[in-house]
Amino acid sequence: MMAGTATKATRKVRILLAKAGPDTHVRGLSILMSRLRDAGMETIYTGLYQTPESIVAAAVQEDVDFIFLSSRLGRHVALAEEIMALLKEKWVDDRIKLAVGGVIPKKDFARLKKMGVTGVFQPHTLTHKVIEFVNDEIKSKDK
Amino acid sequence: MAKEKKKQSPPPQEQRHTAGGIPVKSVYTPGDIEDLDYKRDIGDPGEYPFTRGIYSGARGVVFGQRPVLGYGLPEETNKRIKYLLQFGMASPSGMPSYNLTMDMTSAYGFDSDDPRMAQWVGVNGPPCNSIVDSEMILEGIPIEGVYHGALSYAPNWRVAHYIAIADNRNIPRSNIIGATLNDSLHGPIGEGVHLFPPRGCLRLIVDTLKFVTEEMPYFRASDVQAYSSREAGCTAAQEAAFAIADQMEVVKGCLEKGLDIDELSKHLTFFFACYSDFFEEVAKFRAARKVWAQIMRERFGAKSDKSLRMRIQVKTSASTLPAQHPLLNIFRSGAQALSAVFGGASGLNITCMDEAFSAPTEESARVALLTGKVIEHETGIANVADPLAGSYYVEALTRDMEQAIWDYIGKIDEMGGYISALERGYLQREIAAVNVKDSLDLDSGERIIVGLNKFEPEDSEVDPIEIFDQDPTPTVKEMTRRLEQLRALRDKGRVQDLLAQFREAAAGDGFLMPIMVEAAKAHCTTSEIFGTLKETLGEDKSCLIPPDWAKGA
Repeated sequence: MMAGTATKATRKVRILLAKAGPDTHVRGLSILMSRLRDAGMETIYTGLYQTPESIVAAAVQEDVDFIFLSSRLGRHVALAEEIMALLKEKWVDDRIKLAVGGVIPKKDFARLKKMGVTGVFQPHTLTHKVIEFVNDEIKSKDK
Repeated sequence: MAKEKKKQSPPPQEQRHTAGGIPVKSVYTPGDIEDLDYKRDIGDPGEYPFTRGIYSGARGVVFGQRPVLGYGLPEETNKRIKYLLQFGMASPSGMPSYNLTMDMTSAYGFDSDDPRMAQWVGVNGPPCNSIVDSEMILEGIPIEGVYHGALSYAPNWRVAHYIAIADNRNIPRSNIIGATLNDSLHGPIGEGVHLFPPRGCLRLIVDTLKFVTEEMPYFRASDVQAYSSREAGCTAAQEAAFAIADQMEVVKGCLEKGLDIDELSKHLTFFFACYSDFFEEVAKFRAARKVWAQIMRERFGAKSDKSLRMRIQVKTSASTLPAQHPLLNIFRSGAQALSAVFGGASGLNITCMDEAFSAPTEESARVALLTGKVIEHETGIANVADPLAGSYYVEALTRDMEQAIWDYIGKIDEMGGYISALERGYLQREIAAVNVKDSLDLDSGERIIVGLNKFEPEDSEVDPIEIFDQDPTPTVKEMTRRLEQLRALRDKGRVQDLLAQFREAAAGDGFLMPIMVEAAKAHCTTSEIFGTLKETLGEDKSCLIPPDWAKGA
């Protein structure tokens, strides 16, 4: 390994792509998986049938910066509430951020943000906007 | 103010393509279809190779309209069915009809009181734990004289309920008319889920087909769900090719079991999506019919002309309906429906405008259904079969589409068929590559979706339309209570007997549907049936997306 002059070790941003319960359809996550990796990030996919507990456990174990929860069936608020509570319970809510994407009406945005969800994305969100979101969040986290 | 992207539209000289990447010219002339022979390549409507439709004359443009529906408790779904029946929900033959989806909990084989499923009970469909739920969904809706649409996968537990209800009412099984998906082989490339290992899925599909060919002559039971793979990202050509390859696998499986090809063919249908590239979609339907007719005749030796007909039902695309400017989605769906009708679809199911927000409201469901009625009654396009035939462009594009479909079928053949291609991840990788390209094209503005990456609406914290809110909590509570009651009241010895029989049949090579019908009558539950199959056929764990998906084979 080369001796570096950097004062701070750099590592790739790590993102957990999560699916809960029988909420199938993985098109969005499959796009993110490729595009986030091409943008220099690392992604981990949970597979289907996950619970808030298993998602948070995976996030802690994998030491990720973000959980991206994909939701199609309208249960995003309840799931985000449980995930946020678990992140707080494990004292990792300062370093693991939750973002939610999928079939999400605007009326839920404020509620999600209020509980600490950092990003909310509706269907078809342009992928470069998601990448920008991650980069902006990391910048503000590092400040 | 709407923001404009800097990217310009392409200069006029640039090569253009259909949405699926087939090159197109800016003008077509007789020279472009010189190689086509009318009798050989196109044919009259109702005649081989069925490019112009499977029925001769005007019958080819009668189309049924059956929106997908279902939510909440069984009785709430019953109410929605009755509400929409007033507005002319009907099968292609004009019979009252509905197209019922289940909640994902039941669809994937869990009971409503499974704690892992508490968030999803009654969401996107009613729960169906036992025959009691099916009876409530059908309350006041007769078994006979109605075309029953059950969007259920193999094992066809819901169909077993219908048969059991008919038996209980002394209605001959042969009088049940309707359709079910019975397609669990498309799940891995569609919704990203495997219920059982692919060979196990095929076995269950064949099992149902054996049953219906013997006992239910008017029940379609292999409706390949190309819709789901299209919504997962397929191009039009991939959608048609993968669906045909899937159905070929099913046919091969049935022939190995000794089913007769001409009997079997009566039960085969295709469930396609319809996207926004108007002529590409028309060409897809025309070309797919031709390819299928040739395969049925030449590969499978079907003798009756009727066996060569590809029956197509269409649901217009949901994933092309963005959240921005949602009222535009009424037009998008309407235009897609028009191209499905021009393409000769026999069943039409128009997607609701609020797809990007929630499950449909009563109003959005009504508007979607009546959009089809406007096409049927006001536009006049339903008067004449295949009115676009003879267009230089449509015929040339149909030929190019046909070639693209054959190319894929050739590749899948080389791999040993659909299941092998699935097991190798080939189909998944092909779709993922399209998705990644599409996302890049949207980012760059190479491809425009109005409201999404051009003419965006102003930012707003308010939804532009009414949202259908669902709280599963009361549904879970009520369904849990009902399940407790059911388990307490049923004949436990009979349940255990039937589950033991079912397990033995599943572990061996037994015929499953007849046992499922008896299990339905004995009030066995969804998780008991699916659980037994998961243990005997094996649960497929391979629904993780392989990390190299988008990188090509």
